[in-house]
Amino acid sequence: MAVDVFELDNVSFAYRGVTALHRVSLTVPAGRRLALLGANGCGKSTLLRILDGLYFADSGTVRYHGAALTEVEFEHDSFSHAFRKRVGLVFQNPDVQLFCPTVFDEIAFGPLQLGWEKDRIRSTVAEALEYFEIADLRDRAPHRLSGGEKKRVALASVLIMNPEVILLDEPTAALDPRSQGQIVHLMKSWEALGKTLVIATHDLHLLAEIADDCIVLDKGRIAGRGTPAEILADETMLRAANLIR
Amino acid sequence: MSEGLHHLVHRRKGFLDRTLGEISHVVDRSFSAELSSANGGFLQQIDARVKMAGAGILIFTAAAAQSHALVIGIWSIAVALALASRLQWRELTTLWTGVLLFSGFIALPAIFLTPGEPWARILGLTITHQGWRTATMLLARVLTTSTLGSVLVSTTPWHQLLRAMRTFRLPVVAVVLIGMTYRYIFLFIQTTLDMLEGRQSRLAGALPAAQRRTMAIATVGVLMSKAFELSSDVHLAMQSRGYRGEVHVLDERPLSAKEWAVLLALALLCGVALWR
Repeated sequence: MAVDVFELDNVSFAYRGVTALHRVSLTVPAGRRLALLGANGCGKSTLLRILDGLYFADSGTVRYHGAALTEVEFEHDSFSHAFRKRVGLVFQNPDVQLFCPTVFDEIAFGPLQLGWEKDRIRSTVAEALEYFEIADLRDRAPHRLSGGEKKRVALASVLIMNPEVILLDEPTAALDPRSQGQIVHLMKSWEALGKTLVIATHDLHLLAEIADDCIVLDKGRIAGRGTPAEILADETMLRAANLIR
Repeated sequence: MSEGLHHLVHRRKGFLDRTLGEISHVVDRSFSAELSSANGGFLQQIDARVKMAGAGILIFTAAAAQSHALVIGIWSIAVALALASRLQWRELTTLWTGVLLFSGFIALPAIFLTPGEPWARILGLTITHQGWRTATMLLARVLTTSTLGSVLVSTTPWHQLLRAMRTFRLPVVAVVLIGMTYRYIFLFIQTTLDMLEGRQSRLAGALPAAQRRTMAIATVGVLMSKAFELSSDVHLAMQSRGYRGEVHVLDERPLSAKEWAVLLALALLCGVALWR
């Protein structure tokens, strides 16, 4: 039986009094691909940030491989480094994630902060540029790239650290069909590498390709869970969660 | 800038149109600088650190020179480098026009007010030899240093300039902040353009001045709010990739012996020119 990477027990979170998550409990088994489904503002992004140790639950517990994710834990360099190396978050808006002057610097940022050897960084960045087919963008400024290119650079900047868990916030949102296809192809290739994926999305048509399990969120609460086929068959629940008309 | 936006900018001349025009001008200029820094001319092949140090030496020499000939000589070198680097003549003349007008306005009183030997009289005012010399020297220096600065910026991609700054002992955190500021200024320029375009597309006829001011203030407020939100998200994105309050960057390759020799020779030449 697969080990649980994340365990959430009755997690609640509010932004200045506005509830974003209410008593959410779930587990993320290692090597599985979990899709978080829900309309805009249902709490998907908040949940991903909690899983990435960027936000901390107001109540309830979040565990990563059995260790509680708390602010106190992240104050320890050893814990923080180990966690950041193993869990990566790709933000929905690439402009948030691409803050360096060039694509090369962007991809090298994470490994540099984690203290990798400089030569290893140079060679691994070169490999990542090839893998994501962005070698020609190496010295370009990220703000001059197209949406699809930005997304691939954002993915490369996280994937270079070879995390075991990849958290993806709306990875295919606002992309043209070709770029969307490239991202889906990449996500499918990570399955063979045994990566654990948590994908926030409302693209129901991609669900069967990118997920093994689904959780539907509605106004910060879990409204349903199951396999893609089970979720897509439950039209009443999808309609209530504002995912279909 | 989109064609539609150009059309809007040129069609009317209200506050919003002027703002759109100015913002898009900034974007266009930055983009053309980025293009010219990648066009394969002479200076584009040279390491940014060498260019920055070389420009620094020449600027110092022009500022310290006492002879017009030396300053004009350096200006000629700057122009030759600009042309060898395939910079557009129009860009240079635009720069010089602005510089001459601005510094000419500042230098003008010195022609008449500097005490010395009378040289000529205009409208009952005496121009002195010393005054003329001081004013023309100021103009020559400003022209030369601004040309050197412009050539450096136009032939060097922004990220290479930032790297060069690090080499000259500017703290890493300052360089990273400058880089991020530059990058996000462009994002906000784009956001501002989008907001103003969105508003423009819903306007029918001219608004009263008071309402235009209210709208402008509201736009600033929205942008401020977006800026705070974005800065918070960027910080989270940095944290997510291991940032712990101290930025680490890759080291540059050391300058080669040939590059050091070029810089040394330039410094020596300038030293000799100043001494003579």
